[in-house]
Amino acid sequence: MADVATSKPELPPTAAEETTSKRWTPLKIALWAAIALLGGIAWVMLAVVRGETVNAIWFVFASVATYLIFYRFYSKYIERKIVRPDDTRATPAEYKANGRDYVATDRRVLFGHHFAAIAGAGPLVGPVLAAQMGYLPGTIWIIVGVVLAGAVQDYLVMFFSMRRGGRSLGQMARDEFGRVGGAAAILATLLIMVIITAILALVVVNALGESPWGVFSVAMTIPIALFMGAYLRWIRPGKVLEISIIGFVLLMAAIIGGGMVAETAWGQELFTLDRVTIAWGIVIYGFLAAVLPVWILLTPRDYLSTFMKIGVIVALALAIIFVRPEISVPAFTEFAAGDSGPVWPGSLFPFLFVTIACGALSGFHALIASGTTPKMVEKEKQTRLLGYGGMLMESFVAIMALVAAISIDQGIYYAMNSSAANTQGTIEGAAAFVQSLGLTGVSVTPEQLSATAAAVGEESIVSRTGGAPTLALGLANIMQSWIGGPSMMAFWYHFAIMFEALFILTAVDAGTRVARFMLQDSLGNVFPKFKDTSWTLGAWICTAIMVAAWGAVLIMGVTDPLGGINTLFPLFGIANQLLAAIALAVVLAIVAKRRTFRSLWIVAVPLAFVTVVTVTASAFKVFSPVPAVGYWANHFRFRDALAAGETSVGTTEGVAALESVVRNTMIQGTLSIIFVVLTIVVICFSVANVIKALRSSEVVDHEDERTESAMFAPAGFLPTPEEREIQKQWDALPAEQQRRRTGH
Amino acid sequence: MTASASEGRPAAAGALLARAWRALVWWAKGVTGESKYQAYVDHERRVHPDREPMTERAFWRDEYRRQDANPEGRCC
Repeated sequence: MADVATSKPELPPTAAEETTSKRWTPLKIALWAAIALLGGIAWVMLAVVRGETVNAIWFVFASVATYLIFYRFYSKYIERKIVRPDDTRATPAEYKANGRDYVATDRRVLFGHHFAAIAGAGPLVGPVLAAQMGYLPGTIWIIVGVVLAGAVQDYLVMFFSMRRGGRSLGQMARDEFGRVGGAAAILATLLIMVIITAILALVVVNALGESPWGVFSVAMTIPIALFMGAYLRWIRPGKVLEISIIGFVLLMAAIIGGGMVAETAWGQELFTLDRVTIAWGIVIYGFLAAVLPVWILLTPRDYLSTFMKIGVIVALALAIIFVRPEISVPAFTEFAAGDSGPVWPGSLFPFLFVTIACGALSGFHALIASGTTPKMVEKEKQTRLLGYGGMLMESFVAIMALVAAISIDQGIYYAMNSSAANTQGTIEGAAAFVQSLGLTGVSVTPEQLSATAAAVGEESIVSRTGGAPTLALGLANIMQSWIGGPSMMAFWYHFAIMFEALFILTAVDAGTRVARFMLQDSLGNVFPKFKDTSWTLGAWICTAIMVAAWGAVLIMGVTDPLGGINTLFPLFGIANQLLAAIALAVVLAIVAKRRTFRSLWIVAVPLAFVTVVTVTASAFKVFSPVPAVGYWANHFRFRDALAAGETSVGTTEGVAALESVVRNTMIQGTLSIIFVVLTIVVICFSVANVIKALRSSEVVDHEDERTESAMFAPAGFLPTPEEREIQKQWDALPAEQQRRRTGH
Repeated sequence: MTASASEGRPAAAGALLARAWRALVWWAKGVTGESKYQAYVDHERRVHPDREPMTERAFWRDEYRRQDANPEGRCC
């Protein structure tokens, strides 16, 4: 039921030719030479000079210059070789326009919209954990990974989904690979959602455990969201901006109030919760939030988190530029060469590339880039700005998170990120453990640890694993030297915790809902009744199944005697990168079927890389004989110990603890095997499709039919001279012939 | 500095500031989704001038019902 405006011959052009904007003027050449030079110098400072300390500003220069150059040249190259957009062709937002989800949206607004949907806690957490190998491996992977893999994936998935009327990745997989390949892709996606939700929830639990301030202020988001929901429902419907500002003010009040509450005796009594309790709280909250209508909790919280997301990221960028902290972390630490790092075990290859997923290459983005955004694009050429450009922005967030994490003292970094099994959770234990690492120039005293904890208003900062507290400390450090001084340290710390908790709770809630629908759809093939998504009991059953699945992994992580996040995080990264492999495999098949073989390498290289990384990482997790690395090696070690009647292995004491390690490692090891098998199945389907396409000569394409466009919009962020000219002609038309382009 | 220049400059700066503010509000309304209702009304007026679009209150109830039935993932 598309409402198509017929194209009239007297309309001005719907696409701009690139003529003058293509010409290389001396000024333009000088500008790009300057960008290249600045980027080059920054990379030399980071990678070659590596003085005693490195100024954080070089990270900004190296990343931004690289992004600009690859955006201008490489993404253009991909556009010319593979994408071949045609702006005279209407996008789904035009030919399927319905005023609801298919709405042509201004590219600048859509960029913000898309960015808010892809950016979350992932790019904030991964780089923090990767800092244990030094700053250089993480920096190189974030920057090089995004320009060659992550942004390419997002761009191509978005474009091909747009050409298919906004179809989802799962539907595209079914179109290209048939039923079996499609089913494998959907099953993999479902499992991956479970793991990702569980581990994000684990990050929140670790940040809030034993922190009355954090628990109070994050808990306050529930009444705030309820109030916002009620306001939008009954008081002033649709006034989203207004209520978001009110909500933001209330949120700040909740953070400040949290500090006061945490100082009172009753506040400490009431809000000091252990991690297991918080985990159960999140499981119950996750179920309720996912069965309640969206307007009650999900959408209001989403408004708040969009607000916080864009605000905090802009503030952090400005703060880094103004404060320019000196970084004393070495380019490579001693852990870069081994597999025994205390933050997470494993060697640089392949584990660095799964630890930093979002920010460099994130398969989850393929789910976002297919679906919502493609239905709102005005012009085909804009997908380069939205898909490729949006992902560059996310990568920049990851770089800033890395800078924040490495700006804190290394001794404190290891004290915070080593598991309680190593530090015993005490300041003395942590100081001794950091000493025992034997890193040159890295040490921390118990006094330093308690002083830092006091400065951020926490009982203790020892073994606050998961990345979020470390990032919050780094962010608080940078922000307080820009605004407010040391007295604001605790506020900024809890501000950052709140910011991450908001993202994650939204991701948990939305992830549970999406997974529930996927499960209902799959179950519906066997029991047709489940296909009816308005059937309340079915919805409750499926939500309960999904919550039980991620809740079990969450509880397992919280109670894990070996530390939880350090054993589970690789699984999260592997899952995310496997999804990337699936997305790239789908794209590869599409590109091959369009018969643009010469540029197949643009997709094949990142696909091959991510396949090698994830399959190797999974293989290590399954087969490695090193117990810290291999799940099964650990499993057998603990099982044999139990069989031999022992009651302790390493720092793990007690039969119950040993039994839970045996159980956890079995689950983790089994998941590793399932993930890798599913992905290999999907990749085989993709390769088979490519070979079939090579042999035949026909162009196979599952695109929607071409419709002639009857509207115009510039392609890039700033319009070119030709585009301005055409825009003028359109603006001169009588109002009824113009497609009014709205902000949304 | 002449009197006219000192008067002219703040006025121009004020106009620029007002424009920047309006642009920011327009952008923020787009990103948060507030302008969805306007987009819907514009669409209805253009394509179905014969029928009355939903009121803002009814639209948002319907919008949230749609979102209930079509959940969107959020990234990690």
